[in-house]
Amino acid sequence: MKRSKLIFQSIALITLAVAFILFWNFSKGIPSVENGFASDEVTTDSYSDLHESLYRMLPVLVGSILFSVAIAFYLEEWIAETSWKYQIIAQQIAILSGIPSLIYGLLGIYFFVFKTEKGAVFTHAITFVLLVVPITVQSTQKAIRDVDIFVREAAFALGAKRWRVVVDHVLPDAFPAIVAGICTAISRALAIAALIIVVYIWRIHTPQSGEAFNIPGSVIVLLSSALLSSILSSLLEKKTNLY
Amino acid sequence: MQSQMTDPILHIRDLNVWYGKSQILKNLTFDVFPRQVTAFIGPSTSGKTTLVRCLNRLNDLTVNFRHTGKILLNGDDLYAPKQKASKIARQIGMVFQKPIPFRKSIYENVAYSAQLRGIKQSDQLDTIVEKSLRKAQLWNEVYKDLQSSPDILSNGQQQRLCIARALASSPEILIFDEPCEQLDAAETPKLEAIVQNLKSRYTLIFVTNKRRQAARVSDTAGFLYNGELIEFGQTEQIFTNPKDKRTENYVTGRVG
Repeated sequence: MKRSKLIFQSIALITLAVAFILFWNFSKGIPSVENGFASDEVTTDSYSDLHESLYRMLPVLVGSILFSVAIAFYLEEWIAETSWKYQIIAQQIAILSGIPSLIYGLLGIYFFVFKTEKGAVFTHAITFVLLVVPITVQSTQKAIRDVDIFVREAAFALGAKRWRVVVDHVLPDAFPAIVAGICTAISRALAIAALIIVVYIWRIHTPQSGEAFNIPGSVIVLLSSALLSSILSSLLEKKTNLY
Repeated sequence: MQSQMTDPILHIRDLNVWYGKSQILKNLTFDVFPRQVTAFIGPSTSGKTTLVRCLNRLNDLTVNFRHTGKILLNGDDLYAPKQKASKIARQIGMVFQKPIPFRKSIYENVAYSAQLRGIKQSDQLDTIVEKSLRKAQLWNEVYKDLQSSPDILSNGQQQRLCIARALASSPEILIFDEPCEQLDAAETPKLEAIVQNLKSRYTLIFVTNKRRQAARVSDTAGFLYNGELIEFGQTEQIFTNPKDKRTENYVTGRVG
C-alpha cells in the first residue's frame, strides 16, 4: 500500500513538472510558434542559431552525466534502500526512464525547431536532462551493484572509510560498466540532435516532388557518432561481463 | 592456565543481536584473553559469523542490524557514539572465508592497509609489506613477483595474502572467519601453523565448523548453538569433558 502511494506521488510530481514546462512555454510562446509556421523566409542565420543552441547543450550533457553518476553513487553507497529518500528518488528515475525516446524527440523538435526565440535555453536543457539523467542513473546503479560485495567488506574490514572504499574499489571496478551506460545515454542524445536537425531542414525546404533532398553533413556526423558510441557501449558491456 | 591471570582484552556482556525481527544472538557474555586463540564452533546458522562481525563493526553495513549489550576493547565500548567504525576495523582485523585479493598488485594489496593508517614513505611501506608477508609465510613464494597480480597465486596463497594484508594494518586482534573453508587439504595445515605463530603477538579469534581444527588450534573455545553460547572455556575441557549435553553431542559428532 505504501509502495502504491509512493508511485502515485511520483507520477503526480512528474505530471506537475511537465505541466509547468508546457504552461511556461505556451503562456509566452504561442504567438512565436505561429510566427514560425508562417514565416517562409529562412536565412542561414537561423540554421546556425539552431547549431548554436545544440552546441549549448554540450555542457548540459556533460553536467547531467556527472550529476547522474553522483546521484547513483549517493543512492547505492550512502543511503539505505529502505529509506524514504531512496524510494522517492528511485521511483522518479524509474518512471522517467520508462518514457520512450520518441517523446523526448517530439519535445526536442517542438522546443528547438518551432520555438527558436532566444532564451529558450532552459527548456532545451530540460529536454536533454530528462533524456540523459534517468538512463545514466539506472545504468550506473546497476554497475555499482555488480561490484562484488566481498571486495567492499574486505576494504571496510581493513579500516577504510566509506569514501575510500568508493574511490579505491567500487569506482575502478564499476568503471567500464559506468562508461558503457554513459555511451548509451550520449548516443541517445546525439540521435535526438540529428532528428531535430532533419526536421528543421524539412521545415525550411519542404521537398517538392522530384526534388532531391539533401541531408546535411552534420546529421551524418551525429548519427555515425551515435552509432559509434552505442557500439563502444556494447563492447564495454561485454568486457565487464568477462570478470 | 597461566594466561588466564592476565586481564582480558575483550569483554562481551549480554550481547543480543537482531537482523530485523529475528534474533540471531542471545545474551552472550564472555571474555577474550590476549595472546591466545579463542575458537568458536557450532553448526551453520548458529551465529558464529554474526558474532565476529559485531566485534569489528562490519555488521554496521547490514541493514536492519540492531544490538544491545556491551563490547569492550581494553575497556572502551566499541559502539560508543564517539567511536569510529574505521578505527575499530583497524584494531580488529578480519580474514574471510573466501580469499578476496583486491584488483591491485601483490605489493599494493598489502601496502594498501598500511596506507589506510596514513603511512606514505615508500621505504616504510616496503618494510611493512615484507614483514607482513613473512608473518603470513608467503614472502619466500612471492618476493620475486611483488608487482604482479594476485591472480597468479593459488587459492591458499591468496588466503595467506589476505592474512598479510590484515596484518599490515597492525591489528591487536585478528579474526579468522572459517578461513579454511575453501582451501585444499595441503593448505590447511600451513594456515594452522601461521595461526600458531601469530599467537605470540596477536590475539586471535578463530571461527570454524570443523571440530578437530578447533581442538588443534585453540586455547579457549566456545560452542554456539542457535545464537546461544552453550559453553565457553578451556578447549581441552570443552572437547574432553563438556558440561552441557548439547556440547557433548556436538563435539562427539552426534549432532551437526
